[in-house]
Amino acid sequence: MTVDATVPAIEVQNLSTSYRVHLDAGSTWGGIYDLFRRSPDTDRIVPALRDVSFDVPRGSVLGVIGRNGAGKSTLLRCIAGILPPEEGRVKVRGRISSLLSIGVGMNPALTGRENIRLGGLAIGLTDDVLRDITGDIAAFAQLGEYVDFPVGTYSTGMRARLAFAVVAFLDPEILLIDEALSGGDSKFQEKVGHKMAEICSSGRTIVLVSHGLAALRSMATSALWMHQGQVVEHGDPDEVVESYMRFARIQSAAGEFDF
Amino acid sequence: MSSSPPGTNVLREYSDVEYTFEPHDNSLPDIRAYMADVWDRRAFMVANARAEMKSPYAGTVLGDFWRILDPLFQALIYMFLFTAIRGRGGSDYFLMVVSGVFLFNFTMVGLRDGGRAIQKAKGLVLNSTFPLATLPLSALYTGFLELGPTVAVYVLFHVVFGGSVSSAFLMLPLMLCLQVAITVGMMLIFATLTVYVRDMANLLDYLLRILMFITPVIYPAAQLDALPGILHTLLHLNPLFTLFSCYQSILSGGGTPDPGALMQSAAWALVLPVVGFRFFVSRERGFAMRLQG
Repeated sequence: MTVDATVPAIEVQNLSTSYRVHLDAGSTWGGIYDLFRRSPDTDRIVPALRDVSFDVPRGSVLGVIGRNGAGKSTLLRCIAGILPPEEGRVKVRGRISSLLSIGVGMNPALTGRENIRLGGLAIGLTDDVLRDITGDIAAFAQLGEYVDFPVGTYSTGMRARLAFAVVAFLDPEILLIDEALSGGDSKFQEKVGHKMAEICSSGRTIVLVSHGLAALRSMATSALWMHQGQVVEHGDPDEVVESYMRFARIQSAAGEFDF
Repeated sequence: MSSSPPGTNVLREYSDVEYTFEPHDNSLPDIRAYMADVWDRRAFMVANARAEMKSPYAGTVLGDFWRILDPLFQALIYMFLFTAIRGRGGSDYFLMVVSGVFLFNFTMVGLRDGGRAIQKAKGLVLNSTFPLATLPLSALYTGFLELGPTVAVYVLFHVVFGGSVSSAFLMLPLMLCLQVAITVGMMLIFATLTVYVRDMANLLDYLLRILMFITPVIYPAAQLDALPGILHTLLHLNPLFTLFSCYQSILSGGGTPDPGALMQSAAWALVLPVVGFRFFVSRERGFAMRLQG
């Protein structure tokens, strides 16, 4: 049995979307105005994605790179179905991890265990399933007794480890991972690499947003470079990372680059 | 990744789940499927309510006991004020204020927590997909949790202070159902408004206080009969007005509620949840976009 790689797990077609910036002045009346319109208002809108199209075949790893604000996280949210497209469409074939950077979404007053349970129940898992995987998640994230401590007391590394572990152990067919590799020490990153290899060799599909270019190069089967909401280059990871780094050097020489 | 060739591990087949995400136009999803989805997430709603409740009384000496003390103190303060202003008090009046405040507390909690539920759960909303109506609805659990013990306390007061008991008491559960329905409707409307109009979050507390004063909670509804007709009509636009005057007729009056008032409450209880639900659900796909900024 093989995974049919000719069937794209994810098809993104002419996707455009934007988000609203809340200006202090006028936001209230604008909000009231929007509320009673059938289609969203077109004012005070920052385009986040513009005419983005690409496919992700089943069993592949797509690495998404780009500067802050390039639209990488927005892209993941669109694929997960959290943000609706304004134009175009997204087609997803398979169970998707609809729990994105839960690290960001975690409630600091709740313990790690409670956060896992809350997020898991939200996406429709049962307590039986959650009891089974919580131990695995805590072990993989090396939380030890900290799993019963409030997340607010965690270090950045612990949060990142927990975030990755949650996504990986929910066992979706299509994994969306946002910045998971930027946290954690090198030993944990190695573990992440192994886990991703394991997931991928079982035919699962991964979309990975990362600033860690080296890690991305070794793991991704293709790469997508985004800039200001548009796709600049899509293809072989080595080539895309190469041109991205060339671009970064030029920009930083001009003093305009920020990661 | 390409270094581990496919086939070394067991390849697992994909399920045939397929999603298509397209631009939305504030249209309604399949309501029945949505309701089923919400019902399936009962455990989530309870967990979410418990998460919200976790902080306020944590570490206090009296702990959860505050859930009774808080509304009780409120009732005593209002009673003192009203007695001081009108120079009239007595056990009848005491029972009326306590029952009013305890019952109104359910709606108060529902609207206070439910109205802000989407913004409070911003992290979850932006990072996962689930029926968002579960967020405000989980405030109902908090409301019931506070209502339970206060009902027990009230029963005790009612007996001690010699409140009258009649067969009309059997109607109370039905009226509570009407109150829950009205609360759900208002809660969903407030929750939607809070996402679109950020000032709502600040305004909410004042609106709730106003709502309490235009509802016969701490004064007898009959007292407003002297008001000019137009004001009286305006007060009846408050969905809780007739319901609370019915509560008073039963609990303090010892009689049966006015059928007309009861019908009016039932009408609100039928219309508001439908309107609120449609309003919320047709706009929830746009929530994430507005929370992002």
